[in-house]
Amino acid sequence: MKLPTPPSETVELVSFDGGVTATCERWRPDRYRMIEASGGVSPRIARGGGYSYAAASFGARSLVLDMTRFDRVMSFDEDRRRTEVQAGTTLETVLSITGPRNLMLSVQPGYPQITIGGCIAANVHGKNPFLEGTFAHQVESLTLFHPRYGTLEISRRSSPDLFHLTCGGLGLTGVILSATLRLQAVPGFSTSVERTEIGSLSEGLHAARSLTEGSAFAYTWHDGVPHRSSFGRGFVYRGRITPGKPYPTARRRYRRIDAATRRNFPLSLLRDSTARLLTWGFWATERFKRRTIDMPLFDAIFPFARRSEYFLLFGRRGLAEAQVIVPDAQIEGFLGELQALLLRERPGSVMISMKLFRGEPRLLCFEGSGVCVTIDFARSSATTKFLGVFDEMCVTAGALPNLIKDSRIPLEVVRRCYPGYEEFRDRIQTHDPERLFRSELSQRLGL
Amino acid sequence: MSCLILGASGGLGRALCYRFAAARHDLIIVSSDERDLAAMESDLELRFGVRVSSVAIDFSQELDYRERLRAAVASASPLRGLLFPIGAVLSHDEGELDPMSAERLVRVNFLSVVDTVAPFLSSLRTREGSTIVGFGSVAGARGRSANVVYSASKRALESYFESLRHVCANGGPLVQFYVVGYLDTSLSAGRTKLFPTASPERLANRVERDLNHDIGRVFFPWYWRPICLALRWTPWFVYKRMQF
Repeated sequence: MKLPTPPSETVELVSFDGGVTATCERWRPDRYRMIEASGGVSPRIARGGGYSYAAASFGARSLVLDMTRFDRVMSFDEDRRRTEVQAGTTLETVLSITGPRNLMLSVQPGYPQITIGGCIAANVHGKNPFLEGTFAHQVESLTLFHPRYGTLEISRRSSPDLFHLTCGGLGLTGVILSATLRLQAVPGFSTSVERTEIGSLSEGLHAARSLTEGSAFAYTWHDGVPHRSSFGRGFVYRGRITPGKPYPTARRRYRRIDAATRRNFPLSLLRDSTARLLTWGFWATERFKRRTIDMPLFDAIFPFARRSEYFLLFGRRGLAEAQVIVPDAQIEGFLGELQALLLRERPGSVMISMKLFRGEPRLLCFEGSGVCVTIDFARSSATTKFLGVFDEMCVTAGALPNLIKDSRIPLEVVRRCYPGYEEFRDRIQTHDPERLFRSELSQRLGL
Repeated sequence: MSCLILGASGGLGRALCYRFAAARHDLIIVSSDERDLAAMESDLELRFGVRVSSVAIDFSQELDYRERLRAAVASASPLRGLLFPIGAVLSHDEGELDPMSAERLVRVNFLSVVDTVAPFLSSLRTREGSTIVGFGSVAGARGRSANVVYSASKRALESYFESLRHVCANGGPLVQFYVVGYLDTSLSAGRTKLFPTASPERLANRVERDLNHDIGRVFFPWYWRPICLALRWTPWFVYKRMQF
């Protein structure tokens, strides 16, 4: 019997950074024929865990297809190191299936509740994009539903154009139903994390450069509060997997946070003097820890599972994050200019982090070679004003901003920073002439 | 020991599959779409290490499925439970359904259960600790102008389970019947509801917990019992004015 099309429910959705809020119609399919029943011509967009900082999974008066119930592991081939999962499957679930066989995804973003569909649509990166690239590199094939074409099986070989348009395509090519992913052998489930103290951004850059090769990951953390005496000090963390430790049968629970619950704490504690105090507290606490710490691999892969309080501290108003890949030739000057600008303008910046990145830029993917610089701010008018100036800095330096980490980045900046913008827009238009798949992000970027 | 679950792929059926698999029951799952079943089968096996087999049956269309069910049950571990979280509604079920649609609704909501219980009842009667679980709806408490055939089917189902319990009273499987209120499922999303929705996972936990208890008929959530009682007692001159 054909299922009647269930009515959608009206919900208020918010981007993870708190920057965009919209009242939307949401539908939560859990069976294939329900997705197929979502024909018609009304705009829609698929949504996973909703962890994108930009409004990539709602908005533009689109019906939101919440895919979190499409979360089944469809196959796992230990010998071929492949698993096929539905798009709403979380990274944690994949790890729980593959981990006991000493296999895992090599590229995983920092929170375990992020879904595979979201990882593909945003082509996210993990802890070591310099060595492992972005999420698309481990996607072998996927199934995609678009009312115009039905269900499509696409892979790098069979339909490379659509495959590459979908990986990093911001969900605009259709609903990703499932994906076959390549897995990597992992020698053990414990990580040895070595911490080195650094005094400035440039010191952190040199440390990251020297430590990335031969490590599971290496990244820096810097005090980003614009205060002359403490700005830029921090640590570089270098992680190496300790062989032999089996996948844990039980794990310490972690706090679940999502875009809605992130706003539970009404006030921001990361403003001015409190930001300085808390950042100093983190710095001081880290400083007095042992230099090398063994931690479960889960905690190293998903640092925000154990530190989700960080996001709560930004309060209801939220945070703003700028993440850019700066070409190697420009990075020294860029960091100097960034430091001067932050200390002069004094926006609500909290922390800065850096890691090396390697890849070929294409279409709207956040991929390229250079240094990935991330800056977190408490959301305020000063921050917005600062980010306008920062955008110009990025354009001048030839830096690539991460579209899903910034809910306000203007079209003009994207056009100037992404050489593949026009091509992406044209190819999306060709693939989906009615432009059925839309989000606030796609509208803002004129896609 | 295995359990046969009809209507396994969505809402409550799905929650029951995961709860029972977590409790180490092998499963025979039945639903209409092979793709959903295949995905669930592998997912349940990978997550919980239980044996799962599946049978794709569209109860609204097919009449000849008993042999396929028998074959699936025969190849599984001994059958311990039959669970029927199966159901379907039609948006235009307001008293003017064409005969074919009405028949299909009755097939899915009522006859599928009757047809499935019959071939397995004798074997369940000889097996200690077996249970048959049906799921009705508060919509069956009293007929109204919406979901007309659906409500009638669910009320028929309730009567059937009452009879079945009587049949099995002197030795046989436990017979349980849950009268279910609003559940938080894909099909209930967005519909106007007078009371909050309950989680299908909570109901699944409850069903698994009470599998060995002779609980008879249970309302879930509990507050639907007085509500349904009040609905039945409401005088006609008041009831006919109620819109819900």
